[in-house]
Amino acid sequence: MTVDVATQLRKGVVEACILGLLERDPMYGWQLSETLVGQGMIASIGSLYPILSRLKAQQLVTSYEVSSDAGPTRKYYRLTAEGERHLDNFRQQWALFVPAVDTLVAPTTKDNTHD
Amino acid sequence: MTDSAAMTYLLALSDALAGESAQVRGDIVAGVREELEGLDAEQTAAKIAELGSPAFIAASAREEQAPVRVEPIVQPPEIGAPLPTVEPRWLSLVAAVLVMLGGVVLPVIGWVAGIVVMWTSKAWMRRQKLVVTLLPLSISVIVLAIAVLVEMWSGGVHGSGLEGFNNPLVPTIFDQIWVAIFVALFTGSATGLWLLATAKKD
Repeated sequence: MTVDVATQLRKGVVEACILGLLERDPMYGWQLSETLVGQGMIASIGSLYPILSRLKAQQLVTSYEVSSDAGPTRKYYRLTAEGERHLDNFRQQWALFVPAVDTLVAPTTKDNTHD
Repeated sequence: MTDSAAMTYLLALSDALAGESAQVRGDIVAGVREELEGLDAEQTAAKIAELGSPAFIAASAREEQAPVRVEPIVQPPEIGAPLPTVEPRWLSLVAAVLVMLGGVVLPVIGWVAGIVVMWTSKAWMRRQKLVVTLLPLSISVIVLAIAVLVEMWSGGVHGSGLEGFNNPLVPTIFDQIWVAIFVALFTGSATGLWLLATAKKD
């Protein structure tokens, strides 16, 4: 069976990436979608909302509406206190995870100098 | 104000998301509507091109919600360990048919053969096998017990002057034995049918 490694990896980290983006600033759907599609983390805006729905259900993010005279009323998403804790925990795990995987999958240097 | 092209796009998107939950469908359509609101026709066309087709967005939503497939880890059998045997499908069929009709074709022996084959099969749970084994026997015993009681009662009440008088309206012990046999055969057939219907297929 062929395993789509990139898809599996993206699915594992995309929620944390959204939390990371929202930690900096509250964002609305299209902003998040544009950034994540640009980074190759999601396929389209259709992928985004199921993830946001899960994050809201876990109370890691919350949403609020902002009206504007210049444009449409937008729904913004921001991190909750629980979301911040979750993100901190992810960062700690990730910091250990990346070097561990790098070590394990690093290509072996073969000595080709002998005759 | 939403452009008519935007409205058409939003309707098509809502249709394409028909299989999703109301929450996800509503969120996606509302999120896209935000982006299309207040745009002129040219801007709307550009934004729609950027968003992708409704079918593509719906497929992304579906793909996102699909569970991550985890391949089951199959442990190889230990070296020297007996290989698991697969029970042939016909075994449960033979057991059920014998329980159902064995007693009719070859009284008692046919049914007993069916019960023996049934107990060797893994197509049923132990509790079900117990029911199939004991139900016809229990019912027959109960009918026979009633027959004996009726016979004792119909033998006449001492001192009433009716000793030795057989009431023709009360069935004799032989009638009751036949009833017991019939009930046993009927119950056997019914339980055989039950076995046939509930046999595990794998």
